[in-house]
Amino acid sequence: MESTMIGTKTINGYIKRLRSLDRESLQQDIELRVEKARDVFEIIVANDLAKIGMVLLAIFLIVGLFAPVIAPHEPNERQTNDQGDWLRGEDPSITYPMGTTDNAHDIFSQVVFGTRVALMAGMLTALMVGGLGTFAGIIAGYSGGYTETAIMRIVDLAYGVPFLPFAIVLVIVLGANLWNIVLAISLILWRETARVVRSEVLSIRELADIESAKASGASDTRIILYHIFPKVLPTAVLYSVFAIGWAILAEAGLSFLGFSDHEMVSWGSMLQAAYNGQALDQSMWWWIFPPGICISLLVISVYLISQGIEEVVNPHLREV
Amino acid sequence: MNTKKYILKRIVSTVATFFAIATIIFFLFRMVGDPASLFMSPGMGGEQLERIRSSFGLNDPLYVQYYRYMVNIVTLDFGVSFYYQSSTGPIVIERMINSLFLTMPAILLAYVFGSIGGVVMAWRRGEPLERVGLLGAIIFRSTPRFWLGIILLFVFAGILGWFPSFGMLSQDIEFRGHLALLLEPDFYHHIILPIASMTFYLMGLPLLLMRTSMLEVINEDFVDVCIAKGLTQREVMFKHVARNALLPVVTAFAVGIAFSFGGNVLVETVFSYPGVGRLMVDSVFRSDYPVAQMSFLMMAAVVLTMNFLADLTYFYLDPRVKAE
Repeated sequence: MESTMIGTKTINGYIKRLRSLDRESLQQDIELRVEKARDVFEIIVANDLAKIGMVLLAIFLIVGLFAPVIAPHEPNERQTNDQGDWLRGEDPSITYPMGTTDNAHDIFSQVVFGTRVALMAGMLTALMVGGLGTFAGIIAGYSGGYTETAIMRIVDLAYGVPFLPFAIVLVIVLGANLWNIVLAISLILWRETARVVRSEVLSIRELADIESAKASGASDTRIILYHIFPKVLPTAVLYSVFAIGWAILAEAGLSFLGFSDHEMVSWGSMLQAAYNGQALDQSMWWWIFPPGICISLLVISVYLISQGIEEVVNPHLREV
Repeated sequence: MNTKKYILKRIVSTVATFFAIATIIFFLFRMVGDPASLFMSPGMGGEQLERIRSSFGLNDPLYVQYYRYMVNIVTLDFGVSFYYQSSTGPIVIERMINSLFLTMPAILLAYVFGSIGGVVMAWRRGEPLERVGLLGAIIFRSTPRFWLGIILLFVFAGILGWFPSFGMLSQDIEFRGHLALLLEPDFYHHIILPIASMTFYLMGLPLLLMRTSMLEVINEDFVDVCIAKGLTQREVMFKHVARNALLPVVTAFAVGIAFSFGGNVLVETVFSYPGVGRLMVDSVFRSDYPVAQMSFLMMAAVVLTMNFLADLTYFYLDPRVKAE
């Protein structure tokens, strides 16, 4: 009787100590992760160019978010004078800071609303490319065998398809709207993320902690989620950020060719209207420059940030 | 791995990929629209339309059409264009060569200047020059080609009037084959602006790649030996480091040709240049399957061939790949 009492007591004490140890290690783990995240953030912020990129992107995000407040007019609203005549091709003035188009639309308002389309295209594509590419890359690299071969053949296929022509055909078939443009772009761009993530997983698979996790009976899902995914995350993020830039350029290009929702004003469709609307012949520089400069600046901001993330992924790029 | 076996394997997988793409494209184009509508004129009855459909074999079941399409590809016979009413092959190939004349100089210029720029950037590591180069590369890559084209048109064709604003040749000059074209000064006058708008964009990648690759090589021991030997810094950088750092750039060059080929559509549109990308877009709108399909397949073939060549170069130049 007495001996079992002592027994349970000891066991209870033991479990208690184990639990507190566990809690401690969990706490340490969290602290370690927070510290690591802070390190990563500090590396990115230490990079001046990346800082400039973040500020630029923040400005675009604010403009996109508050577009209806910032834009003085609706993007497709005809501007008229007191007599009710359309104000076609007005020079920039205080009322129309960037002038008007030959269809009497306010260019400044169009540029502001166009920000939304570009940001949406960029972010949605990044999500799809990051998700699809990382998933395919991890599965291919971790499982090996036929699964790997099959996935990599599809990646090869995506590499063999000419990017813009494929996107054009797909958008024509599925219908010209933003979602289909994003889908078309993502169906091509996931290839790079998948390939890079796979090759990383191939080397991660050989690490000791994967071996020990396997030996202690962890399931594949657990190994992928807790041991592999955190290690490929920086790369996955980097390639998703690259995809934002690609997507914005591709969306602008497709809209310029006329493959976009005509109700939705984007920077690309503005340039299409300007190009077809004789903006060149009539020297309407205020119609040609703003949309293009906005595309460039937004993509520049994304690449500047990606260049900071690259220093996290590729430590030898860091200046010492 | 055995060299022959490797090459054979790559050829087989490249051809297989090509046929997979051909299959996807076949089904995609069948979903675009009814090509018979191209021949519709107001007075046309349903009977006449039927005759047109059957003369192009559009009434046959899809698998028969697919079979015929695959046979056509294998025998390199792409049928008659619905729109031009003549054999598809010569039309597409002519446009294809036009596109090559635009792409090749642009990409060569971009990679030569880009690599040299990358070497200088790595050499001047930490100096303001490197910053400028880095920023420049990012700006090049972020500027849409078609917009740069519009700006160049606006300034150099519109305001200054130095260059013609559209086409490949002036109206009074007749096109007499591609060889004659290469000897025609008017042709060069036309392609300077489109080439410039492509070169800037394409230069960004080699610039960044070369710099990154150089930074990797610079830390290797043999560079110290070169310096210790008393070689000048220029010799070390351009002769020893650059040569070892060139591999990723060479690979990117082949892939870059493939990539810019697809992106040509935009530049060709801005400058109304008769290239294959433009032809494909026009043909899709006209539901002219034979031409659209062949244009797409030709572009895919270029992409695949270039990817294949890139792999081969990598295989030959990097002994580590062979060891795997």
